[in-house]
Amino acid sequence: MMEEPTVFVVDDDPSVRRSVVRLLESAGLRVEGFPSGEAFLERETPRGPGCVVLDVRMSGMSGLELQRRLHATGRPMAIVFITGHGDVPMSVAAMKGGAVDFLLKPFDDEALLAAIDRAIGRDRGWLHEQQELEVLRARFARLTPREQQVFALVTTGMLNKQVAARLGTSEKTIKVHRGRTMTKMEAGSLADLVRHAERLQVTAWNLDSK
Amino acid sequence: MTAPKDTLTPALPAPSGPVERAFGFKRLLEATQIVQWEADAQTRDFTYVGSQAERLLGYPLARWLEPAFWRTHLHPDDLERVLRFREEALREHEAYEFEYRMVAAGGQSVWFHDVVAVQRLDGVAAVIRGFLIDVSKRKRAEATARASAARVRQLIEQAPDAIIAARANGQIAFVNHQAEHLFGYQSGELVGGQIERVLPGQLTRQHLEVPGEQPGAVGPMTVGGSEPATARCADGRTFPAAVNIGRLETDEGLVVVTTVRDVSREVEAEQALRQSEERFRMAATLGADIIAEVNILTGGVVWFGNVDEAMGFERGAFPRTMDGLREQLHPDDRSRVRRVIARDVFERWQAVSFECRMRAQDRSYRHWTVRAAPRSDGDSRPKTFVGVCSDVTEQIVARAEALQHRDALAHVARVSSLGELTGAVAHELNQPLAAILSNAQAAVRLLDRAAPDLRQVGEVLQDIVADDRRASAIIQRLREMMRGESPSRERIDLCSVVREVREIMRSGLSMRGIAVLSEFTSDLSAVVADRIQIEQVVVNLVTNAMQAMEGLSEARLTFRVFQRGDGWQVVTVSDTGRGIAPPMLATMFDPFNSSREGGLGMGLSISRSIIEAHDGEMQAEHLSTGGATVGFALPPARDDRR
Repeated sequence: MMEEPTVFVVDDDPSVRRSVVRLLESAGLRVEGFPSGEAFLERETPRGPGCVVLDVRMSGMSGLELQRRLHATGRPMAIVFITGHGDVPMSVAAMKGGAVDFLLKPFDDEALLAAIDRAIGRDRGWLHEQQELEVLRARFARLTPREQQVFALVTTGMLNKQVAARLGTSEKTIKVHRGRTMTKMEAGSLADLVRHAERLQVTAWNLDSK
Repeated sequence: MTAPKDTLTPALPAPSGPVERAFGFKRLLEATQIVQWEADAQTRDFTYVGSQAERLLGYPLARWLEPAFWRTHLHPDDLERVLRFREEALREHEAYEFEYRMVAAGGQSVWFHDVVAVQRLDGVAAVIRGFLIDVSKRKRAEATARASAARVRQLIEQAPDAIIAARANGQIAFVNHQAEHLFGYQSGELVGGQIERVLPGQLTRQHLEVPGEQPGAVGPMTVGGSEPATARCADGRTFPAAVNIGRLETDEGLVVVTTVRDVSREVEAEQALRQSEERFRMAATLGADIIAEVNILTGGVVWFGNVDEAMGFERGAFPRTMDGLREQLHPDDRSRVRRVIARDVFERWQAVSFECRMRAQDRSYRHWTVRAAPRSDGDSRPKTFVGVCSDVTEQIVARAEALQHRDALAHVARVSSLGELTGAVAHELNQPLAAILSNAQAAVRLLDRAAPDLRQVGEVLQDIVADDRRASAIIQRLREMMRGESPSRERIDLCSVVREVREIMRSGLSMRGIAVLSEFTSDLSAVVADRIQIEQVVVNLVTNAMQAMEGLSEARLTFRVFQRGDGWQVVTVSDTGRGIAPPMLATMFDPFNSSREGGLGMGLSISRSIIEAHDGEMQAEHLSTGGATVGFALPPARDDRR
């Protein structure tokens, strides 16, 4: 979890790329440089935390295009844009696409490092959430179909009696299912269980439709 | 010797017997100009001659009785005719009369009327008796009449017009040579024919009949009133003619004397005039042009074509005088038009053409081109001018729009190319700048380490040098581009430059509700500069001012063009915006220095590059009243500085 982060620098200008890589390395970061968006996409998806320092205007794939592609891969890395000449529409598009910052060249090292720091922090948070979600999914998978039904209905705020009526069984049986579900999902209270349900996006509706 | 006629009075004794009666006749005859005579029919010599004979020819009576007196005193021109006539008459007639001349003692000719009776004996003429009557007076009168008739004839022949004399029945009695020539007849061909032949249907009873009792009815008359009559030639061709008729009462009855003059040329000229007037009206009515006929003397104007409608006036309300028209002229055009008219119309009497603006009823101005030419009746000074006025407002508006359109396009092209240039320059320049900064900061970090890797730091420094060189190469290239793009230097009027920019930016300014004021000093000398570049600077100033006033309710932009004390010319743009913070004043012309969020701060720095390339200087001022004044000053043209 506390794996060392990597900064991916994508800029088609070799001298800029080399200087930025050098600067970040001198700041003690692990850095990889790429001359184009295409080259970066060819690399295997990084598992550990990281961020992309991305030039907006490049020959070939533009920075904004690369941003859209990364989103589609399911590993949306935090991006710090750098540009030699930017306008308002360009920066708006970048920020809407989830960019952490939009820096005009030439930029100060502190500004860049701060932005990278924020970006890596966000990426760590994203990774953490992804890992938590994996745990919850594993627990949910261990529930019996009946327990999953009870889990979905109880987290909508229904009383045991109502759930029993809905599932055509006794209130006592529901009570037993509910107890097992709480244990398996490692929920200490109904509130915990509701939170898990939200993150798993489990609802009565999508259970019914299954 | 002879008693006057009035002495034949009753005082004389009345004759009572044959002798007395004969004596009485003798006395009577002797008292007259009549000479009684008797001659032998065989010898033809007088046997008796009345005593008055002495007085008639101046010869004594005895001479008359000498043999062959009569024959030897006949006028030689008459001799042969008279003798032949007498011999014939003596043979065949009992009585005859004839007229002849005899030569008097003084050598003069005397005309006699001789009345003769023949007495025969056995069929042979024996005695002839007769009376000689002096008819010289009558003959002279006749000769005079003949001579004057000849003179009249001569006059008629010499008259320039054709003259035809006809009798009351329309028969031609006499024509002059001109008439024959005019109508194309041979000499003498017309006489005896009907006057109808040459003037068909022209002469009526009124002309040919004997005038009644009204006095003066015999005076001259014209045929057909003011319209010309139709005359016909021998070959059937007709022509318009002016016909005058005079009537003479003579012994032979009424004679109608007709004077005929060919007026084809006058009629043609008149028709041509009428046609051209008609064309005038046609052209005018068709609406393209309006035609004015101006009377120079009175200043009155007659319009052909509907000028009232064209100018939006009530019928007849558009001015009909020169003075009135002057009032409708655009004030800026008045003196120019007056000058042109005074010189070309009044002094030179020549055609003139000019453009002017005429005020319509709705107070808008219509653009007219006027082409005017004098209309002269002869050699005299022309009294009228005819002007064709074409309304070219639509063309002018279209032209102005095209011009504006072109300016707008040029402006868009200029601004967008500058925008692109700025973007490209920024991008190009920012790459090495970013690399330099990052490298330098990396080097600082490397050196901060406990054991700095100096070889690595050296590499970094080499990169910095390379990027710095790259940056200056970019700037060099940019300079060359700017120089190469507009190498032009011309004498320009800064006021006109500012006016042009004001026109280009007008719609943008008014869209933002910005009021525009202008203070131009007139009569500024020219400066030598690149018009396009200076315009670009002014555009930048206006753009900045507009942005400084964005969203303000009271926005006002003031252009000023004036001359500084040292002769430099200054253009400033003032706004009522937020003004310039004092720290900004020092750096505002540097690149990348923008007070606006997202602004690149290139506008003023490019402006400064341009102005400095013109040896001028930028200036900026924060106004205590709020807002800012930004502008530039250019040195005077070199000629003016000397």
